[in-house]
Amino acid sequence: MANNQMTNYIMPTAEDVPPIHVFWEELPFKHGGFGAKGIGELPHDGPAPAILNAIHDAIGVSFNSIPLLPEDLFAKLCVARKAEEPAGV
Amino acid sequence: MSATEATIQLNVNGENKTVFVPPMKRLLDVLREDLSLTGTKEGCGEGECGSCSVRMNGDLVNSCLVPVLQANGAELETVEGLASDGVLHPLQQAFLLCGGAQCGICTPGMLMAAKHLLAHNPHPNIAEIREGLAGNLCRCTGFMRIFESVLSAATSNAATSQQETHAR
Repeated sequence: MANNQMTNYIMPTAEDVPPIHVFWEELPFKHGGFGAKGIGELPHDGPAPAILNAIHDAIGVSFNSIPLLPEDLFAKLCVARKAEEPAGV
Repeated sequence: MSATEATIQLNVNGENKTVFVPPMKRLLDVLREDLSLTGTKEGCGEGECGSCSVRMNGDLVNSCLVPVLQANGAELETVEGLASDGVLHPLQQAFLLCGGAQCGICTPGMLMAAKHLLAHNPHPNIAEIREGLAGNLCRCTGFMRIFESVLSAATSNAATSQQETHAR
């Protein structure tokens, strides 16, 4: 990663930012719902929770942090399986 | 374990709290994990972005850079302390009305920095607002609406105090 910290990834602070004028340019994106196209950083927020929710849907075990490693999955599945075993076995 | 943990007393938003935590634990994590005050956000975790700003004994600090031992006995103000009895603080109201928040990660820090600014300078101009918020990064708004929010809050304070003056 070329810039993994904000010390050298210089971004404008409140003191630097110039006046901003907004103009709308409508170019519908054919692959997005209602022509929408995700840009910037916010579209990055969705996939991780979506994947974790899909895993929850598939196996009934929920996770609330990433990265999710196969080892994490295995460990929780072992706990879940143990809990499911009938008592006395 | 007890040798590695310490009893820390904090006054958070006017309430006395005692926590038993490792003394080098970040104040940010104690607020979020031990006191369940998750309004304070972690942005960069290295003191660059200001998302985790809280007020400690009247100073604006990055709570990611404060070992909790340093905060022992301190009076802390977090974003949770702004609204009282379900009524938003004038700054929160202004951010709401002026569109000063988008994704929301910087907002608690912005609010605390703005509160700190207004505590020292109740009627800042735009240049002073820019300077006061220079330690808080926002990647959504381009800052303009945040400046407008703070200006609006400062002006409505002025309006309120003016009304009070006229009423007398």
